Amino acid sequence: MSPQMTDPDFSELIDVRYMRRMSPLLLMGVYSAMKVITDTDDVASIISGTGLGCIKDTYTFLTKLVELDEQGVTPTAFIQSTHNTLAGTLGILCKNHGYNITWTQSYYTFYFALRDAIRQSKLEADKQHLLVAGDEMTDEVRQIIRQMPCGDNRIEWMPCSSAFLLSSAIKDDADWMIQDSHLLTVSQFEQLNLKNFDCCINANSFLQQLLPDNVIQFNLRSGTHFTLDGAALAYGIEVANAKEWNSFCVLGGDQRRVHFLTVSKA
Amino acid sequence: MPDSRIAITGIGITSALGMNVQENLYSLRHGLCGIGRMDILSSRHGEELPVAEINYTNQVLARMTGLKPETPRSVLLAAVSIRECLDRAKLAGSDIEAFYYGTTVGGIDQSEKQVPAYLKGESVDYQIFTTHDNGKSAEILSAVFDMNCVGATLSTACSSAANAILSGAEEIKSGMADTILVGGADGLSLFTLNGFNSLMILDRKLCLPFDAERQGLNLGEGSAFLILESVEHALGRGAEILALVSGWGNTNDSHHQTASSPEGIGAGLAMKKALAKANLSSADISHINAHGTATVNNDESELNALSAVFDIIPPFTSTKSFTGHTLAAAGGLEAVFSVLSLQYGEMYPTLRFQNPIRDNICPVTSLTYRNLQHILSNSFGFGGNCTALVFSKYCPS
Repeated sequence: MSPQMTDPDFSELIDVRYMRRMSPLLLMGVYSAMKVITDTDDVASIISGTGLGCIKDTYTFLTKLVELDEQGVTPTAFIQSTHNTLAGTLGILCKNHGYNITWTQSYYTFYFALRDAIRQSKLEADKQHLLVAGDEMTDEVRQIIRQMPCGDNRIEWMPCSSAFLLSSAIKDDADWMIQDSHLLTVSQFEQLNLKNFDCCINANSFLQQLLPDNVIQFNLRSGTHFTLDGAALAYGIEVANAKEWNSFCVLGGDQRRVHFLTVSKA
Repeated sequence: MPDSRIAITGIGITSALGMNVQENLYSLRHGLCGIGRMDILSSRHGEELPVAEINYTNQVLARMTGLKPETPRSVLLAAVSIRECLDRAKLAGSDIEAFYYGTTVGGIDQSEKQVPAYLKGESVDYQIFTTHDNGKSAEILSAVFDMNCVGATLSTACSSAANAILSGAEEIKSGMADTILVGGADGLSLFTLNGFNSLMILDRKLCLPFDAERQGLNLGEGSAFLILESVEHALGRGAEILALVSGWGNTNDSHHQTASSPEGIGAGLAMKKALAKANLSSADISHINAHGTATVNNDESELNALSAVFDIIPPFTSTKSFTGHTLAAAGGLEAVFSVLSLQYGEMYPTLRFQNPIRDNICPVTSLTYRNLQHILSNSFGFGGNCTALVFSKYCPS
């Protein structure tokens, strides 16, 4: 049986005319982005991160290619399979001519996208910078990953998306500040004292055994994917607001390096 | 005061013109086109679609690099040019503090070989699929060269390598790293060949950039890398400075996923951004290595953007008439060509050009010698991605 995820009503924030052709990643990513954007004119850059891009379209195009023996394949799936489709779509929908970049680095994707977003927010401190991350999953791709020798098969692979507006200038309505974002070796990570934080949210499926009991195992609730640390950050902010935490940390990455992300109240 | 200008101290390249800088330079100088019959990639379109293919099988490339033949072709090509780049800069892989890599194909050329068996329910080597995702390529390369960093992949379609250069330049400027490897690679694959074919933008003959009779692009493959350091850092270790990266700009055309706006809005803004970053006026640009894919839409749009940015368009060329369109690698190849142009005072021709699109706007059509100070290089991609880079001759301050 395939794991199920309940989708939000995407039509709340996306024009239904555009929805028909959108892949799951586009629907999730655009929806997440539209939830955080208040004024499109104020967005200076759009930075996206995705581990596998629109993998449903990649799979569709590859299978059609084989089934049709390279004859009569149609371009839609090919067009959407490009990794920067989400960032490009947001550029079009927001009529945004600013910086528009897509990062893809397996479990470190969100780390590099966030690093770029922080860099851009320092370069244009008076502007807002949209960071959006996400990955989709299909039954077919999930089956392939399960067979892969180094796939992370302990936790179900599930779709996820997240979006954030970043600015270097502290604004009155700012909620949270990124304090640090580093890639640490596991031995460096093991020297950290996670008890300094109100909470620790884990999105790294390889760390399970190393973590104390009070860590929220986000990946056990959500399933895993390359950009899950982005979703864990969004989840952390939501919970932290409700529970009035002052600081928390998010753990991403894989068995070699941990994306250690610390966040505090602005 | 430290000289924070951004130096290029190493270059490496593979393309259908050759497997290193000297071979590419020879072909550019002698007008030897790399586009021709498809020999390595096995496609039913092999007879009808010319490509700029590197005439080495994966097995041969594997022997050259010490990698396995099942390694993605892009990675095999990248490994060849990274080796050349590091050697040229007199650096070891362990000296590299950041690695920005552009690719769109990643390991899809290997995945697509497994798919027929997979769909039939036959035995499949699932290990191959572990190299599918784009990020895996940078991971393999940083491990092979024992780099002192985790590789980071940008995938913005045909501007990917240009954006890797842009990111490296910003990192050097912000002082976050001293020695950075930047560039990109894409090997030919059935996926991209059939994708572009389905878009009906492939020319059945040799492509004709900026020509009124152009019918589309020819796909190519290749890899190109550069070492970036601050001038201060480069001089401190006695490195030869080949050129400078002096300006960069990335924008979004915000028009269409695959087509450029007729006015070239994003392209024009990227060029202006790059000029502003370089603190140059448009009149300071002595040569342009244009994106120039030879599609009807791109070349018209790019010419309109050039007309909007420049009062008088400087001599421009499309080296894709030699190399084909190498997709994610294109910005890297053209960065290396720009460095060579600055070093030798040479502008390489747009091959086969005969008929201007309008207003007698003609690219460079023969090898031309000129003292070049600043070169603009354009790279545009799907998703409206537009990147312009300015490369400048190094003069001690």
